[in-house]
Amino acid sequence: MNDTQRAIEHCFAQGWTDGLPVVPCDAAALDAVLARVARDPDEVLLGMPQINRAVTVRLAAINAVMAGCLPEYFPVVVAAWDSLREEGYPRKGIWQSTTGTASLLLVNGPVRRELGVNSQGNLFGPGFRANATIGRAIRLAAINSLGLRPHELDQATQGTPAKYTACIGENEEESPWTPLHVDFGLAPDDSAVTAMTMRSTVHIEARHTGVPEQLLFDVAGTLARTGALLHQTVSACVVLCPEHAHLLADAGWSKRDVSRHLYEQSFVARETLDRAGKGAVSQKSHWRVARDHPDAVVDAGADPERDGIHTMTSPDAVLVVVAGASNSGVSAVVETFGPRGDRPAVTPVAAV
Amino acid sequence: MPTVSVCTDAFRITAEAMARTYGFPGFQYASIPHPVASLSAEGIAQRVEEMLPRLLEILGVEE
Repeated sequence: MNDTQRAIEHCFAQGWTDGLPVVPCDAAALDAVLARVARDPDEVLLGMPQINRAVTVRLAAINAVMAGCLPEYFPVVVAAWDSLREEGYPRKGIWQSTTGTASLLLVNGPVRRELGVNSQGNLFGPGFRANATIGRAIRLAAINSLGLRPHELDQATQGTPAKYTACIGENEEESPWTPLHVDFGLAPDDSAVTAMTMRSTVHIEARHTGVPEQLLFDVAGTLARTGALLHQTVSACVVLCPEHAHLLADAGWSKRDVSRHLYEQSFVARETLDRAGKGAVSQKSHWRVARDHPDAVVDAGADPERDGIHTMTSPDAVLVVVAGASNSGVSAVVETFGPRGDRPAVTPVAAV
Repeated sequence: MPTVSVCTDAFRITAEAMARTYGFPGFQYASIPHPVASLSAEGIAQRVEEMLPRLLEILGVEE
């Protein structure tokens, strides 16, 4: 075994890994990464008082090296931590939960081109160093710095492959609409990271239609599935491929129109909820329960004419972004934990 | 106020990891059979009856 292999095996032996080999980090590598940001190495990026641990800028840098990041990626990694802190769910313990969530990082702006963040084909798949390692840098710090190891403080019942990495760029160049960071007040030339707590990524196969209402009915079927309803409602980031986005935009639909229509289509009849034993909500936990549960309250829907609920609290619970290749009608619904109408945690990236 | 932590046996490893994190290895808590979330009210009542002796033991109550 050579020195490199010995160092990698040492990291495995210490448990400093997501199961894949990590890049051993020395002081020079750490300094090169820290030099890319104007942040105090001791600054806490994300504290978790419930487990007495925190990720500092220094720890985030070490884990970024271990994940395989180039030093110039680090401003994006730091922005991702800033966004995760603002988004709020990780701080409250969601990374320890049985649900087994991951953190989706959406990258906007010129930094995508500068670092080679993929926003086109195989968006959620492998092959791109920036996407692979920026997302991995977050997970490795969760494991190594927060101690969220599976079977211990990470109690995920099944988890998701997105826990290895989930970092995508928005395909701004092929989108008919303004990008997400511009919708939330930044300039097109700014770069930003928006973190979202996610469960699944679900494919929407719709190569068959040119009718906006048919396409969105197809998408809404996933937004309205009862299996996603742990809480009273759900939220989603709908990642439209350029072909779908143009189909909608060419017919005069704005992103807001799409969100509003998907919200309206997310209606689930009470009878359907009852068949899944989710026709009511617990007064204490606000989780969905059957009507005969001792703590149950039947939650009135937004539409008094129909007995049932919208799975979304409002159109704001559906974020619409454009990404993927311009080669087919395949989009995705990313099932998120919030924002259920809150402002997404769009966070500027400091100059690289 | 004297308290006792209660968790189901599926969370023993996590509970012990949390105890170590806070510097209390060997922390005493009550463990009951999993699951609880899908139990009926009668099932919950039965779990409570079964765990009571252990709760009292951890609290140091002598009958």
